[in-house]
Parts: sequence; structure tokens; C-alpha cells
Amino acid sequence: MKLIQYGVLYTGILYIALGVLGFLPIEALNPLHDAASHMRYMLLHFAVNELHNIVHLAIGVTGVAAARTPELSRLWGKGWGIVLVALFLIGIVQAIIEGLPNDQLLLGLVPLNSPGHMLHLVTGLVALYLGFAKVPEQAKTD
Amino acid sequence: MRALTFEFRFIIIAILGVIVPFGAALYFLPTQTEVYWPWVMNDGRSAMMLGAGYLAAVVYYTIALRWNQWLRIKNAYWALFTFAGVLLFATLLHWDQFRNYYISTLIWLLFYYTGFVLVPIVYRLELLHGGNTDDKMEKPLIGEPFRTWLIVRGVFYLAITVIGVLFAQEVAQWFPWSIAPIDLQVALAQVSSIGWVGFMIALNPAWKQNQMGLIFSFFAGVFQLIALALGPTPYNGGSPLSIVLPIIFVEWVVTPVILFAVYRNKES
Repeated sequence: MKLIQYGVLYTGILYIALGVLGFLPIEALNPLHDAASHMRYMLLHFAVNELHNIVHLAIGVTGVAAARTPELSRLWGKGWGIVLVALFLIGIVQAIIEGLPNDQLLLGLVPLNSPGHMLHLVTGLVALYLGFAKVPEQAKTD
Repeated sequence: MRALTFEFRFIIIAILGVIVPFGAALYFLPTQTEVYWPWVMNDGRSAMMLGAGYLAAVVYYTIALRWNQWLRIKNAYWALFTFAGVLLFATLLHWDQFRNYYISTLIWLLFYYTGFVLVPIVYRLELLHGGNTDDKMEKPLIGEPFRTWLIVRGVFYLAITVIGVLFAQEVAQWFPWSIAPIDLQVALAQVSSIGWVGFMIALNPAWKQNQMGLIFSFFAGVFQLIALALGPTPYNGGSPLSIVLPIIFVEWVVTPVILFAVYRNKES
């Protein structure tokens, strides 16, 4: 498996784990914070709701599927990398406009907070690296 | 011997860009955490304890950049993962104490999410660049009884980390100063790194590949002992851990000194 595929697979599995965890209605793990928007703090930390979890699952499942070939992996990296970094920028701008609240509702649909923003930034940059960087194709054996 | 990849060197420089100010602020301005730290620490001794770990890491990464050899870093590399994992766990448990959108909070999150996401990918990258030659064990190997000692201390420190992280509330009460559970759990991340060194020696006893972990241990011990001596608040000599902490930190210093004395001249 080439590095790009490995990286996309790993990131995809991380997002699937986040997506599945977010759906668990366990108060000690994911306490309910706002019943109106169904917002929970996943792992006591990330503001999520069902839609947010579905997006995480979508990122993860497409990552695992894309990891089958280097070409798809690169496409995944470019696509989700741009989306995640854009989400970070939009989220931060909205947070600044709203006076840096603890939680915000992106586009009135998806709950977000600063841990979510930073996760989007980190994974977005990693995805962009996997999508665009020139990395070794296979292991040297000499 | 193969040099580090550009990506890993870039990450090390980025890490230094964070831990130099973090370490210096915590160690030299321990009573002003309300100004610069993601959460407010009640006791300056706790800040110095965390700062000592960061300063030891500054020495570690500076030497790593200077030596620029993957083989020397490889064994200690996964300590980054355990370090980031312990800190991430502490962050999840105590998120309510973090100051939201504080610049140091954002850097903290960026730093430890990145560690968790990037460590496996960069490891793979280094393996791809290095091929199979790096897996050979170069002589000299760390022999008995040192190997046994390093493994025992590694298991001991990993056990301390697990117990301290899981029972932080209880363990904090034994400390010679008032330490908050979050401060204790974060401080234990550096203990986990020293434990990791012992674990890796069990797998790969090559001297060259274990030097970096011992260097971290030495400097962490030195900075911790200075912090114990110069801490800004009273040290309660009657508490259960008041004797244990100095003994542990002296061991962090003495073990690497003995090993360097024995093996440095045996390097080819």
C-alpha cells in the first residue's frame, strides 16, 4: 500500500470512529447539551448532532473506499482537504462575527465549537498534503 | 545513515515553534498561567513540572535535528503518540477548564490533534524513504543487566502513568503541593514517554537507537529537580510523595548518565 492510500485509509478510519461514536447516546461519553438542536458533546468535547455525525461518516467511508487506489486517494485528499479547510475558515469567521461563543450552529444546521474547528483544520491540511504533495510511491528495498 | 525526511524535519521545527514558548513560559513564569496558558493553574509548581517536560523536549528535538538520523529517533518516535494520546485524554476529561478561543487553547488543540493524526502517517513516510536497512540492529547492543533495568523502569513509569491518569483525583492528594487533576494528567504525559523508552528497549536493544530516549530522560530529570528546588510555593515534606518525586527525578538523571558512561566509548 502506498503512503497516500495509507494516509487516506487512516484518516478515513478516524472519521468513521468519530461518526459512530457521535451516535452513541451515552450521557457519560456524549452528554446532551441542547435538546432543540440535538447537540451532544462527543467525548465531552466536540459539538455534534446527527447531521454532523453523518458528515463525519461520509468523510470516513469515502476515505476507506478511496484508499483502494492511489488515484482515488489523491482525489479524496484534494476534495475533502479543500472542504475541511473551507469549513474551518467559514466556522472561524462565523464564530468571530457571533462573538466567539462556546458553541455555534453552522448555517443553522451543524453544531460546531473550537475543538471541531481545529479538527477540521488539522485533518484538512493532512488531506491536502495527501492530495497534492509529492510523496514516495513504494518502499526501497536496497 | 539515512537523514530525516523533509516532512519530519518540518514537523520537528513546527513542534519547536510551540514547545519553546510553552516550556519557557511555564518554567520561568509559573505563577502567571492566567496570562498565557489554556487553563489557569493554581500552583506554580505544577506549571514548572509541565514546563520541565517541554524544555526537555526542546533539547530532544534540537538534538534530533542536529543528528538528523532516522535510526536514532525511530525507537523514541512512538512516544509522541502516547504523549499526544495522554494529553488528548486529559483535554477531553477537562475541556470545561479550557479557555475557549484563547490563542494557547487553539494551539494546544492543533498541536495534539496533529500529533494523533500525523504520527502514524509520518512513520510510514520514514519507512518508505528508509527501506529495510534501518531495521538492522547496530552494535553495540545494550546488554544485561542494563536492559533488564531499563525495561523494569519502563514498565514502572507506564504503570504510574495509567494509575495517575485514571485516579488523578486521589493521587493529587498525595502530592507535596496542591496539584489539580488536569495538571497531574498532563504532567504524566512526559512520564509515559520515559516509560516508552523501556518498552522499546525490550523490542530493540541497539544502543544508538535508544540514546535519544535516554537524553530526554536526563534533561527531564535535571529540569524537574531544579523545579523542585526552586518552586515558587511551599513544598510539603510530610506528604506521601514528597520523597518519592525527588527519587524518581534523580533516577531519570542517573540511569542515562551510567549508560552513556558505559556505552559511549563502545560506539563504532
